[in-house]
Amino acid sequence: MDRPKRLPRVCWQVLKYMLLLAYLAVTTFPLIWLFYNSFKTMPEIMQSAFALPKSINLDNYTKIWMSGRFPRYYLNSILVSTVSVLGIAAFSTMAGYVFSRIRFRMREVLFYFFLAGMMIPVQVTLIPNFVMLRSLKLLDSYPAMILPYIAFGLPVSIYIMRTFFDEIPVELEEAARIDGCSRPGIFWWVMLPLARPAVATIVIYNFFTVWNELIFALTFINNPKYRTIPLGLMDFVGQFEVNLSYIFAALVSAMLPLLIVYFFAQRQIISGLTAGAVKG
Amino acid sequence: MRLQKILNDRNVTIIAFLALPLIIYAVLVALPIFQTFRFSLFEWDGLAPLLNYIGLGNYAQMLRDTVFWQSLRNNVLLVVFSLVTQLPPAIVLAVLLTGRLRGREFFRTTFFSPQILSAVATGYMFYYVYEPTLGLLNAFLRSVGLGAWVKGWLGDMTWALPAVLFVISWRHIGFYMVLFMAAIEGIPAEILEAARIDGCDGKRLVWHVIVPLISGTIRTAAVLAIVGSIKYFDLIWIMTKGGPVHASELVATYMYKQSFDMWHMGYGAALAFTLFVVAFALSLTFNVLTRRKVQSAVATM
Repeated sequence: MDRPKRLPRVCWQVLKYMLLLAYLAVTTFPLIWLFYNSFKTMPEIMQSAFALPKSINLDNYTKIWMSGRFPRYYLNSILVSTVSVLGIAAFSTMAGYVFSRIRFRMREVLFYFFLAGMMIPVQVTLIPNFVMLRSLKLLDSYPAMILPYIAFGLPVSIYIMRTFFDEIPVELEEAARIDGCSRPGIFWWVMLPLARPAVATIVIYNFFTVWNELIFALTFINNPKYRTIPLGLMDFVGQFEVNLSYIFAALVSAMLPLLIVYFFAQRQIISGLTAGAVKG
Repeated sequence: MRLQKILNDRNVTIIAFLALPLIIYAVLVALPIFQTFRFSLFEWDGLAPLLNYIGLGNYAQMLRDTVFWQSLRNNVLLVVFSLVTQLPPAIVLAVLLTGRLRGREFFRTTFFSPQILSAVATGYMFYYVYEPTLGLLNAFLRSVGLGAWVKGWLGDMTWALPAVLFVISWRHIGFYMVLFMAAIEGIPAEILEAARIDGCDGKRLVWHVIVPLISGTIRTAAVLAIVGSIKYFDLIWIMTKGGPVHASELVATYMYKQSFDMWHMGYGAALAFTLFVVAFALSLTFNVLTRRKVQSAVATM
């Protein structure tokens, strides 16, 4: 009686792992292939796109990192992402607090006005923002990226912050108020420390969105001085089209640091990214 | 006295905390929608003064433009393809990964990882996977004796779109899988236990118990996939630029070319506004219909 039931169970386990390993191969093989190809010389790549490199040759990496452009792309990305994320975090915690804690006329109207932003595709704002930034002489500058990034990060972040503040009991705040604490004081000393998990979510979500953003940067930036990593890669591929070994090293240089960070903080990153996307 | 009353702690806080975010958001997100609509009523190269008012002429042109219809068709294909090739595999993977399993965390982390890479880096990686002479795919086909299948994937009228669609799914399946895993883990253990005692297992357990119980999350995932597909831009732009000859054109890439390559900004604005109306209407409808059931599931992650 037991036997015919056990056999399918084992089969099921094997099948399960086979499916998982098959999908694992689909997910990782392109990345692994890219990685080991980035150590090959161009003749090696021409010989076989498949074969492992004959030696660990770091020339491709020294070439692209010493050219000075790649470090510049990284610095630009770090600067733009940091300022944008700080801006989003500051504005959305403040706005979220006001929406959650202070009753005023127009409160819900304004809140829904912000929420509507989650349903607006960036493309519809591209032409007017281009025209505006051009007339302000802001094309080819950091603010040309940072301002739209902050603006588009606000709706979902304000939503997340408000719903989080709504869950915090009012009594905590009242105690502070009786002690003579002002509203900004309560916000800073009481509410913000309690809101750390929600702040982590919006920081992670917006960081990845901004770090990988393409369309605004593509439209508003032309000067190599301000190129972020995505734009830098486009430029790089355009320039070295035939020299795959450099391009592979450049792609790995763009991906690997992020992947390393990801594998160390995967829990927080996965939940931050999914929470952000689902609410958005 | 009156001024002091208006400028109390409460009002000052409202103004100080809301003014800047409101201005930035209004100027860069909300107002441009109206401006885009206004631009769409002109024939305009983006530089000269806005003088040549043509009413709805750009929209009339759009309806006659075969490339617009082609790109819209591709967007619809993208919607259908995303729903079919992203959600079911994501559900299967999520079911496989819930419950006790050696290496569960590793699989979950790895399957999600394409989601964190930029579309640009991913797009170029696959551009070289599909590359005709040195690419991984053709090398693989040759080595297993399928040399006859070798082709220039992204330059091929029939294969360009499917090739890019595959990459889009490759990128997003892990994301939906994580959503479904959270939802499945949110199902009370007693329910699954009861179903098992009733002799329900394997395929039947998934189909008759798990899927109905996570239907809220499935709906949310479908909404994300649909709305995301309507405004899709990045990977297509990197891999094919909508080519060859518009074979993989989407409304967003076509709008971008019209506006910023050809400087038909009035026409580009009309395309952008159309994109906005479709995306906004769809999101609004779905948001009202689904009422965001997934939050509690995500909160438990």
